[in-house]
Amino acid sequence: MAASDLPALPGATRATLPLYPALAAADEDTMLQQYRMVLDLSPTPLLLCRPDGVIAMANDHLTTMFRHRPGSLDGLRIDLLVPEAARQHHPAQREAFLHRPAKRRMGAGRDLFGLTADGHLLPVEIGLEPLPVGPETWILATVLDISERKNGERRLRSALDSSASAMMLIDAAGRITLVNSAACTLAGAPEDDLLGRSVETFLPPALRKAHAVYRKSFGAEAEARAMGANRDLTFCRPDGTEVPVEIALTPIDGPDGTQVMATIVDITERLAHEAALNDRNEVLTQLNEELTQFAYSASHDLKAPLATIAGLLELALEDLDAGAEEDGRHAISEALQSARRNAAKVEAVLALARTGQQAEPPRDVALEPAIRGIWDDLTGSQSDPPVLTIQCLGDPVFRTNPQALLTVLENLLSNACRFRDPGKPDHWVNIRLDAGPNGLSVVVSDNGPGIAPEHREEVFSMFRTFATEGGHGLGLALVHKHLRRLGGTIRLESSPEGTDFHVFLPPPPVQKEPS
Amino acid sequence: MIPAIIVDDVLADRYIVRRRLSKSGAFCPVGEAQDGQSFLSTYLPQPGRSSLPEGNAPCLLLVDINMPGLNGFEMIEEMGRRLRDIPAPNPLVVMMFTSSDNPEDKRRAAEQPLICRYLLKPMTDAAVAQILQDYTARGYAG
Repeated sequence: MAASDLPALPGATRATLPLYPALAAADEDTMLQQYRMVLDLSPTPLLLCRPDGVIAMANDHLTTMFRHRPGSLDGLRIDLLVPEAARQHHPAQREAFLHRPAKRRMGAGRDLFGLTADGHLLPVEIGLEPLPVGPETWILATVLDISERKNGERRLRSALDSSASAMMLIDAAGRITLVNSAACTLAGAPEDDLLGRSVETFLPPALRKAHAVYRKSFGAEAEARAMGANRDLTFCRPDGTEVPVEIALTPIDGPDGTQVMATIVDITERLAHEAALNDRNEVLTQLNEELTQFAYSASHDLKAPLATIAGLLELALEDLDAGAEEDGRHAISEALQSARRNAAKVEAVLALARTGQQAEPPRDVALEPAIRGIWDDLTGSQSDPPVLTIQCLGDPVFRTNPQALLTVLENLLSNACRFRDPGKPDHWVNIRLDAGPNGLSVVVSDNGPGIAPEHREEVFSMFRTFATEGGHGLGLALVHKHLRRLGGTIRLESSPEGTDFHVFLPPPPVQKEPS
Repeated sequence: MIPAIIVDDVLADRYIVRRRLSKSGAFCPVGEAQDGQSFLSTYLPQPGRSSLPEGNAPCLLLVDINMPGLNGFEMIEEMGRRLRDIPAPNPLVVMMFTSSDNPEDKRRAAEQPLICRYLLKPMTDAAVAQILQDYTARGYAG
């Protein structure tokens, strides 16, 4: 508020000013009586103070404002109304005013308080005006009670502080003039450290210059908007740490020109949440892709044998009608074989789909007996099975999900047993196990024909089979799925000399004991 | 007579086709390959060199899609590369022959200019009649 904005003092000032020369010459008592009348008529709290600091007169508005009885302040020292803290310097300040008397506001830029009769501090605004009384200059003081305004400010302040968003009011020069408590938390600094600081100090150094330009152009548009559309905004704390933020700008008109309220939201958590969602989304997309592939492959690969069977049976019917019993018999037996293979395939597909559905508790699996059992089942009907050797380097047992481990071993051994290189004189399969507290590693080696480099990536896909010996193309997909579920890994090394599958299974997670 | 080659990894499917073709009496000789790679090495061992059977009509090539190693589409692409230097007329009438009615497979077949028909398994007499009609439309008596 500028000095000229002080409330008009109709009776006291404007009306009396032209009278000054006359008054100076007039009888002092008459003059004081006239002043008294003017003060009493004024709706504004006023007092007239002598140069020595004694209150000559105060109107009722002022005395009651300070909780004194009307008329009781006259003749008392002005110090009575000055808070203790300011009292010591008050006479010197009064002297200074009288040395260069001019209408002005008291204590510009500071919060002023008056002391009431009951000892309360009253927030006030004080206007001072020199008044000639005879040869002396007295002081006419206008005192306004601003507690309501201060209360309003306090309410506004608590409203700002209750906001979860950081708020900073920035003036035209880019200085911070107001912050709420969330802003202090965001900046990691107390209010006093923030007020008066240039807002640019909270920007990444590379952007500070440009920001000053943006700020000026915003001042020119002065329309509420979000800041930095399509850009990632960063708030730099004084300690150098950076916080991702979103900022809204709102121009606020005030007595000192237009300022800008920046509302700043820390989006660290939101970004983390979004990242987590994206990760999950990626996993789901992958799963969905798997499912799509599964549905497509399953529908095609399960249908293909049915088409074969239908084709064979049509032929068989025609053959039987034509009396070609031999051909009919052949077609039917082919159809039967197809049907049997397909039934096994349906079982395998179901096994694959079921993987991971039931949570089986880990159990100790005796490794060598398990492998012998699988091998016997696989080779029982063969006249000339490959030679199996087992090397057990570590513990004889390993604790894991038994079904998963057995499925993995069964499929690897079945492949090793099935794919033989007819160009080699003898066929062997070697399995090397190393079980310990850190996990189980298994290497299944064979001296089969090997897997061509271009197929090594794809062997783990469903229904992908690269051999002409038959098989449903699901074995390694099943192995892969089981291992992935248990946190294990598989890789293969292959050459025309043979193939090594390296499997690793981690130990099972520690089960929590029920408390 | 129309020479024909069946490329399919399933023995029973090759048998069915062979029987259907032979029943019509219009196809001879009928060759077989159990996958794309063996078709290429048997009939088109290198670019510009063809040992495709020759007759008074272009050879019918029935190709399965899902096969180990090269699938049907991959095989046809490679075949196209190897056929490029062989002078016209085109020695082949290529038809996809599959149990897949997946739209993606049908789209891919439609986009491959070498493929002139998409037949669903199993092979029937009606399908063979269709093939013969296609040949008639091209001006071959079959």
